[in-house]
Amino acid sequence: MTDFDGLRCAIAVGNGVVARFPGVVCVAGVASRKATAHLDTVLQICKDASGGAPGRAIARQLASWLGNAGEGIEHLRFGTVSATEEDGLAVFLVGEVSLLIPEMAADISGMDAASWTDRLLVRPDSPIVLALSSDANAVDAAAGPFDLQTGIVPGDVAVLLQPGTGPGQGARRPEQVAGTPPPIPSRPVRQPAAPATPPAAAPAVQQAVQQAVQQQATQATQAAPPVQRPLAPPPSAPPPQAPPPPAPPPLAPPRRSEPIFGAPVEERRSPLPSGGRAERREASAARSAAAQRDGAPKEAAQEEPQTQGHLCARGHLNDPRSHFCVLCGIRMNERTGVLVLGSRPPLGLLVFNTGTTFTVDADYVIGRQPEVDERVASGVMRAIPVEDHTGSVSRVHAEVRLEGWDVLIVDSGSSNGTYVAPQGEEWTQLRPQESRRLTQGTKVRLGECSFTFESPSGVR
Amino acid sequence: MTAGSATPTTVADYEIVEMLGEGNNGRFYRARPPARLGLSTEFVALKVFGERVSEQAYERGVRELRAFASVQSPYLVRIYDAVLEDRFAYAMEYLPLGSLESPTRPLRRDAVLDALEHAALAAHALHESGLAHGDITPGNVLLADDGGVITGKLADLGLARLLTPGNTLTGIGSAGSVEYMDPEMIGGARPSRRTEIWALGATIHKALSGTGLYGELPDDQPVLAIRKVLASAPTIHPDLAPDAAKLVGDCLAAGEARIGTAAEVAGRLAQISR
Ligand SMILES: [Zn+2]
Repeated sequence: MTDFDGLRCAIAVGNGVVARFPGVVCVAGVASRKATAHLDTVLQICKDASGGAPGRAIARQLASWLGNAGEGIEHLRFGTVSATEEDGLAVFLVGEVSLLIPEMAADISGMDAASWTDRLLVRPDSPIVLALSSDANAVDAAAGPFDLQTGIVPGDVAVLLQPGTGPGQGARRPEQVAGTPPPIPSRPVRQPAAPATPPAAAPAVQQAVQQAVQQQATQATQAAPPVQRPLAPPPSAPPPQAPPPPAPPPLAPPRRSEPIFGAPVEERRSPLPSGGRAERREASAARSAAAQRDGAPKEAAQEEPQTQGHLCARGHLNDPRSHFCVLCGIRMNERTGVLVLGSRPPLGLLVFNTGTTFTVDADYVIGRQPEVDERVASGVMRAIPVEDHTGSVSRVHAEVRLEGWDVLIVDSGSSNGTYVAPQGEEWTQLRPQESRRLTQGTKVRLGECSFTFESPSGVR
Repeated sequence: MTAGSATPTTVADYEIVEMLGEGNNGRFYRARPPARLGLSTEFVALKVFGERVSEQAYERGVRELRAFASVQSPYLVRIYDAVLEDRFAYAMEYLPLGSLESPTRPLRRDAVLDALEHAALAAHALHESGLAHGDITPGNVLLADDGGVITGKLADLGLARLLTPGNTLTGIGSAGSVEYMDPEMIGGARPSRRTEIWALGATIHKALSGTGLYGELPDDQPVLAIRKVLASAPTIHPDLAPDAAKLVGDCLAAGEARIGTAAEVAGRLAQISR
């Protein structure tokens, strides 16, 4: 199979940018000047990592950079296709960018996921199209004689093609340079015995790619240089009369997969606790130890923070301001109430409009990609990832923080704001970094996503 | 917080045949497994989680699924494979008879009681191995036909709180799953034998009476559903046979009066008049 760098890279000229470095091809576009610097970064990452099989390294670096890229990143869209060690392809797409392999009916978009689309594919023999638009005219232009070897040029579409006369044939000599026609054998080349899988996706693109391939073939026949390499031996037997129907292409293996049944288990666990009161503290300690051992997020080990409160007659720790025990409902005797240090119970629930519910017993970061916040990465805060299709939720949008017995909502400097409506009151917008105390029934809205705070005392 | 609703044609290297249902943080599909699994079965059930998960969360999920798969019980579904692409998914055996919630053919009362007993035994086996299921509902008691005899198999280990720490109730499906959750858990308690036995009681009640412990819950208004569950006491349907009603009551009981182990629940189910 032709080396990745031996592939011809046809382009369609456009307002975007096509770049190629050893082992990687990138197509990118900016919708605003605010994203120009981000575009430069993408190209720099590709260039710095290029050479050999940079696919996984590029995907990793792009993901890590995207997580922290600042303002204007939403105006950038780009896609990279790069070689991996196992002769595969690493595909990384952000925003409205498509990767098409017409012959395999593969059509992957950067819009498939909220953040980015990241795939490992088996590299096909057939053309690979990386496009800012699937507009037929744009792809038509890629049928020209262009062949980008290394560098950055204006363009909207890159088509990676086998050098030679058609898909699956010929190998380019490594010393070949841009612009020279690919060498081909002087005799007609054996045609494939069976037609390729019929096009199943994007007919316009497929047609355009076929044109590109045909043009490539015509060009090559007209300008065939002398034979420069040994010919493939002629077929020893005629092709079978009735070739078997082409099997559907196997799907690329997933990014990660792990066998479950029959796989070894790291260690035997002790039987589950009954859940009675006496066992709770012990179980909590055991869980902390287990969490540390398992490498679970650190917050699991930091549960049940110590807070001062009043005890009810049955020994439940309560907010000194409450008149009734939130656990058992009995009246608190405030006069004898001495402040006691104890484990703070959960302070309520965040009930999202989707029904997903979080227990308020730790601090949370809410957003489209809360895991990019270093407090989440370090385990100090938990993440509530929010799926967003309108672009109105920031990566890190808002925080829910526990302070003593108060639950606070804080806007994390979001682009589109955090709105709060206490029960029976109007919506108001928080200023960046402004915090507001959540009370029973307070509604909070970020983009199209909203949740209600339910406090345990409020429901009794 | 959920993805779009279209059924994909593939998920990782699985070929999707149809959607089977939603619940507990994701969707179930009937799918053709990839050759790499070396399975002789034509179909598997593929659970695809609705939310993005990190690599670390995926690894926690894999550890939990492997622990689940290592538990020796004929009443637990077999899980084959976990994959991570855009989403986390895992493949398990496909059981064409559906679940106690939506069986593909009418079930006799004795078959329902058998399946419930099997689910309780499966839960006990998990507990003895240090695992909590976390989401026992009629929809997670799947049905297998062993030579004309119905067997219940517990499926869909609740991974939500493991994948997204702090997550108590999952959104996909309906808010209805709140009626199978011990209110103590909604209040922040972690899964234990005690909360699991509550869920078994609620599952038994629904499977035998056809109604939930809180009557009709507003499925599309999760806040109201949670308020109703927290503000009202569960009500056992008056048509339930006395021995079944007593069993459900003992599963829901407060304090020390609650049944102690899932094995005891199974034993009580075995004694209920068929
Ligand atoms: Zn109390």
